[in-house]
Amino acid sequence: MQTPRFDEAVEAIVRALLQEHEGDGAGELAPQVAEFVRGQQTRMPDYSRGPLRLLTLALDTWPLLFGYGRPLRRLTPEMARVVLATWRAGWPAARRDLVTFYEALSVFGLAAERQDHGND
Amino acid sequence: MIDPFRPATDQIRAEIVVIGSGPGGSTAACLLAEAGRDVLLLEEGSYVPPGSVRPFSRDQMVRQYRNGGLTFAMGPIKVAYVEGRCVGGGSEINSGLYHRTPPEVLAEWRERFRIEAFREEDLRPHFETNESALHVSTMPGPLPPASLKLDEGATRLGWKSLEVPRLFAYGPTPEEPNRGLKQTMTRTFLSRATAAGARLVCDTRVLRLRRAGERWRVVAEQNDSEGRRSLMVEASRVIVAGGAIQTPALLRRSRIAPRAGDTLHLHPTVKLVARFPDVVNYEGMGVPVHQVKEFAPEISLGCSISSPPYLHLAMLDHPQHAREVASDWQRMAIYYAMTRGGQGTVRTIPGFRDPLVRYRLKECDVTTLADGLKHLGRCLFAAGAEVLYPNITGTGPLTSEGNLGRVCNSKLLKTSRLMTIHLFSSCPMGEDRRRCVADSFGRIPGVPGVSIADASLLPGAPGVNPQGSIMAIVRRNILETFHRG
Repeated sequence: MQTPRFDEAVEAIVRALLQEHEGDGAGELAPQVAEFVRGQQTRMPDYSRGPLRLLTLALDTWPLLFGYGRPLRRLTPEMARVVLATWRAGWPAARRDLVTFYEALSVFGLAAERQDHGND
Repeated sequence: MIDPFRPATDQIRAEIVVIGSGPGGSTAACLLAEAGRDVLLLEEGSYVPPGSVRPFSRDQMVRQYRNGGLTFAMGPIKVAYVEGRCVGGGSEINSGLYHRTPPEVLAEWRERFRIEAFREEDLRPHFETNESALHVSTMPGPLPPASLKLDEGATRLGWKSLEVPRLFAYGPTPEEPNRGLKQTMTRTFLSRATAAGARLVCDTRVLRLRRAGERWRVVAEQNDSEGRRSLMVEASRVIVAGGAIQTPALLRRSRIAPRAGDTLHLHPTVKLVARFPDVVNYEGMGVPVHQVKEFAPEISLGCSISSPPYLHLAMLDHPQHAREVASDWQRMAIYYAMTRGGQGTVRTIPGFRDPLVRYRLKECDVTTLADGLKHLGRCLFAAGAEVLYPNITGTGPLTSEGNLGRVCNSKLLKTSRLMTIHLFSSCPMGEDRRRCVADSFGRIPGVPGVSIADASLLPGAPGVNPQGSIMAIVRRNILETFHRG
């Protein structure tokens, strides 16, 4: 089940990753890409949805507890990118895998969005 | 044209139920319906009218792939895989490349698994009939340039390369020399099956099979635009054709064939992006058709769909160079090295509907993958590639053949992104009762009236695109079981 907090966290992650890959120009498509990513999450194998959700909420909470005083969904994309980079390089592997998961879907989703709307 | 059937009641009777409408299920349903049998086909996915979805698009991923394409075999090295979940199954989403089973693979299976009547000459009439019905043919017009690069490199190295035919009915025009229609099951055997009276029920997942005296009860759940309801189908015979993952999962849920799912095989595949000095890619280029078979059946080299979204995805391991895709995608294409190694399992998890798939590669399997990637790199440099970007985390781009050894080794391959679209062998066929779940003709020993008709029957990884093998073997099995017995 999606909640506003989860949805906002996903959009913040997607926005930060798109900025990292494509610069600021990709920001306007972040809501559509985030919608695709959330849709994919509802389609994943059912045994993996719960753990993914928990890990995403953990990622959202992490900066609140460790140095930023705010959850990831309240950070600027630039600050969110720093948090994501920490998780990407971190341990355990589940943290790296989570960032890779969002990165793959975000990058693919953006390119597909552009292709579908003739913006390549 | 297919007209799905929505049962008026939730209790249905049929002579034969076919579960799954992919290549195996469609072949079985078509043969049996055209022979005048009463066939009910249950398909978990929806009917997506041919031509309504662009191939290899995000839309197709959402509408025709199981779990949105987000399926993984777990293990020390994860392998991403793809299953079709729609009317027509894998035939609607694959490349349509066609091979017969290599003779040496047939011999290997026949001998190791003791399969009766399984020589090349036994299967030849089934291959030939299917090839004619499905218009297996090579491209009449110019070949995709990205594909030609692979052939060029192989030729320069003196390696065996071939243009692989496709299941494709070409109707070329001067403006579109490669115009045509992929011969998916919805366009071919499923259309024939429903025209011959088979009833196709979509959006219906089979939960389990139960024996009821001499008959079988198929317990299912339909979930479509009109709502969710339970269905109960009673039949004399059941043909399970859900594919290498769903078939063993169903058999295990039904407590039939307890060894189903013990021996999954797939084609572990590693990819890279190659950039050339000239244009090799364009919008709508379509499916590349060349494969290098110098190292077959253990290693096959080929070219993948290389549209910009897939190029962006393939460049994830090279973030500093990812922006090149936007400006240079027409000089870039994705290539792969496909192997046969490893083994896995399919298991059901109580309380969850999706099965758990696990896969393990031995050290020698990873070495074969590394060798495959090295051969691929050599081939592409021989074809004039400027730079290669392997799908391996933590490596940089490769600019010469001398760099290949640095990256193409077992240690680094363990951090690579592996994938596959070919899964099989979870219910192998043959007379060796220690290894096999089905007999030489797909029937489950000790379970009268239930047969398997899909990729799970193949005893091992064939080393080639498997649709041709699946359909020929299913045709052979159905004719033997139903027309002679």
